[in-house]
Amino acid sequence: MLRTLCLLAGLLSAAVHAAPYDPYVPTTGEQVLLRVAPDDSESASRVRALRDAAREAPGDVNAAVRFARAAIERARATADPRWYGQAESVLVHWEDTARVPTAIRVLRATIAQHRHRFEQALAELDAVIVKQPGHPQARVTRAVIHSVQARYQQALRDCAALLRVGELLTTTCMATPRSLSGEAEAALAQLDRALARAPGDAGTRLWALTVAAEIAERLNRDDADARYQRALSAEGAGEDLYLKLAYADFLLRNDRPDEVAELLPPFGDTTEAQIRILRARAQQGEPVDPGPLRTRLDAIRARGNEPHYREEAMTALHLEQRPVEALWLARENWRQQREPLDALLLLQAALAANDPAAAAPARQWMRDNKVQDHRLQVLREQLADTEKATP
Amino acid sequence: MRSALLSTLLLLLATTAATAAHAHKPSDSYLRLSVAEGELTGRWDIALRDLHELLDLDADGDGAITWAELRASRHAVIDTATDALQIDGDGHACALDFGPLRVVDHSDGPYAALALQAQCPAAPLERLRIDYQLLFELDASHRGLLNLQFGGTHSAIFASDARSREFDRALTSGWVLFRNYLQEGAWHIWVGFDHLLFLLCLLLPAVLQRGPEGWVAAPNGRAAFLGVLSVVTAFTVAHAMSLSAAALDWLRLPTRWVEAAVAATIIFAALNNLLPMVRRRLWLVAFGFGLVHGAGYAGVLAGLGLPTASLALALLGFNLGVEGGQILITAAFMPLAWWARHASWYRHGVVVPGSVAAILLGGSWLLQRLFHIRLEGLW
Repeated sequence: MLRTLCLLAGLLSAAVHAAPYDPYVPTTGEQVLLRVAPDDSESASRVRALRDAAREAPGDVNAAVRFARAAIERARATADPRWYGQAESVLVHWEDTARVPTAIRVLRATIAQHRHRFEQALAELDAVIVKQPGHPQARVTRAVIHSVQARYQQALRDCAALLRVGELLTTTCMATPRSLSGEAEAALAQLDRALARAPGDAGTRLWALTVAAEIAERLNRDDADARYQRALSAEGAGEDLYLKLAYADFLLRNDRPDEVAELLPPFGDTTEAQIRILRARAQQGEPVDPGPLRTRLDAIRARGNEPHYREEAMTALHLEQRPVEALWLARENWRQQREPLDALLLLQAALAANDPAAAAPARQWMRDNKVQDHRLQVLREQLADTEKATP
Repeated sequence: MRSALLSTLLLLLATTAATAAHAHKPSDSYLRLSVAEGELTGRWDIALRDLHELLDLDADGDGAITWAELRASRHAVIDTATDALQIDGDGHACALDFGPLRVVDHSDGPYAALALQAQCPAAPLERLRIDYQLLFELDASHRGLLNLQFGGTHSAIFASDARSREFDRALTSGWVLFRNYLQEGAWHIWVGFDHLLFLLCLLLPAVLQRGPEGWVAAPNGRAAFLGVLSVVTAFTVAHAMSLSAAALDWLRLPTRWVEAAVAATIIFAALNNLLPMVRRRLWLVAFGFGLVHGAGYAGVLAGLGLPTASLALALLGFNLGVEGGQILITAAFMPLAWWARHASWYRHGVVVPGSVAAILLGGSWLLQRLFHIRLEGLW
């Protein structure tokens, strides 16, 4: 039923996508319309060279993989999703072939996962792992998807297959699923030991520090702030949107809105960052206009994409004060992804909409997995109180 | 090997841990066309970011695209547009003429706005075919969002696997929208098993009359028919009222109670067949319970945040679909029941066991929904 209605909503919103913007002629020729990467910048020319090479040799696996990887890296560093589309366009060659090279499958899975097409991503990764059970990239990606969708045992099995690659990578991979299935303290302690002992590359270290800070926050430990700070000063943290958003949420929860705005660049213009910046402003008592953000979210729906339920729910709940709509969106989001942030959103929306029963799936998830998260526990108690108060 | 592996892992760690970040939307272009008195005119907005990828607009390579640079590339921009769009009117290619280049700011940045005029040999136009090829080679996730005024409003999304569309003047999108909702409504009554069960419970004894010695066949076909008609109409009108009130956000009820109440209506209707509590004016019961069934969607519909203009049309279609679906089911069921009304197996083999089964099913739903609540309360 929900799916049908969802379809109806999509149909309606697609029918009204008209964009009433007025064109103009700039007054002077010098007026700058758009900033782009300068030609001589290393990354821009490198990616262009790789793209030309891939386009000149369609069907060349190595050329396609090199460009697609570079494009995905650019997508991450610039938060411009066009790069995913460019990566995809060189992979089209293998769309209808029976024997798809492993590297191509892994890249397709990465793109599918970015678009929240988790089933498609899992199908690709399953095919890779059947052929190469030890493929580290496929194992990590699949572990993350399993973990995001709350299949912690399966996530742990994939992480275990990484032992040959490195101790820190394996421990970090395991830390999130372990911490969400009743072993938060042990997972954090093991992560600290691995960080002290195993070197690991910069990317793995940053991931490890981020996960450690998140677990510390869920456990309501005093060192959560210091752990976030440590992660933020690690190599590569400047380009890690996930970490910045996690810390921004931490700041908002601890009534420290003043620090949010300076944290988020160079990603300040992403929808995720905009939500946090507007929330910070609202916390500081300033008037907030969520209109442009809503326009952008609507534009994403209008193009026929899977809606960004998490961001839409956050906007409706925190910025537009539309709790009933937020609750509906948070429930749709929960069907897609089940990270603590998503549970938090569902419980908050249920509380705001005064519909405690709607949060049942997230409460079930907490109970089934013995989730340790003080933020969720507080909300759960509040919901139980509301339930008692209503006859 | 080792360093290659690590750089691979670096790439994927960051991308797997991060959510779908969108500083800019993915690549879209906006094509607005309208046909009026045989004239096809319009505007095409293409993102400067995309034109830059295609044409390298930054002539001096300083990382800033100025209006002078864009204007200098206008021929290349128009060539790109001409190559990427083909419009056929009634089977004949239209000549496209792109007018002056301007700039327009969308929610995700500046776009080049191209005015567009098409000369189509056939007039007046009855059928348009649009082929859209912009950017797909470069960016497989590109979309072309079309808004077309052609009789009514049509909209379409071009994608790398959907590059061509045809439009008939007669089929306005309002009609398409209405028809879609009509189908959804009929489908909804078919798959909404609790509505169907409730309706059947009301209809089961419609061909019978309760005499002093229990059920007997109804003597008067017209009266039975009118009885059925009144029940179905009352149920539908009530269902439509509360559904519409919910969609317009005038009515908000807690979902769990509504869901439990829907189960309770089934128990009541079935029980009424076995131990009659309401004998006359069954339509009043159908009306009251119809309100409950329609309210079942309160939370969901209110959450959609739909635009009011299309919503009215959509709701009308949806409700007419529901009614049509009910009439179809009733029309299929009633002749069979009428034919079987004298048979004792209908009374003892269908009405009684059917009602008992409905009570059990409705009861289990009620318990499930209530038990669910109790379970929550303990926790």
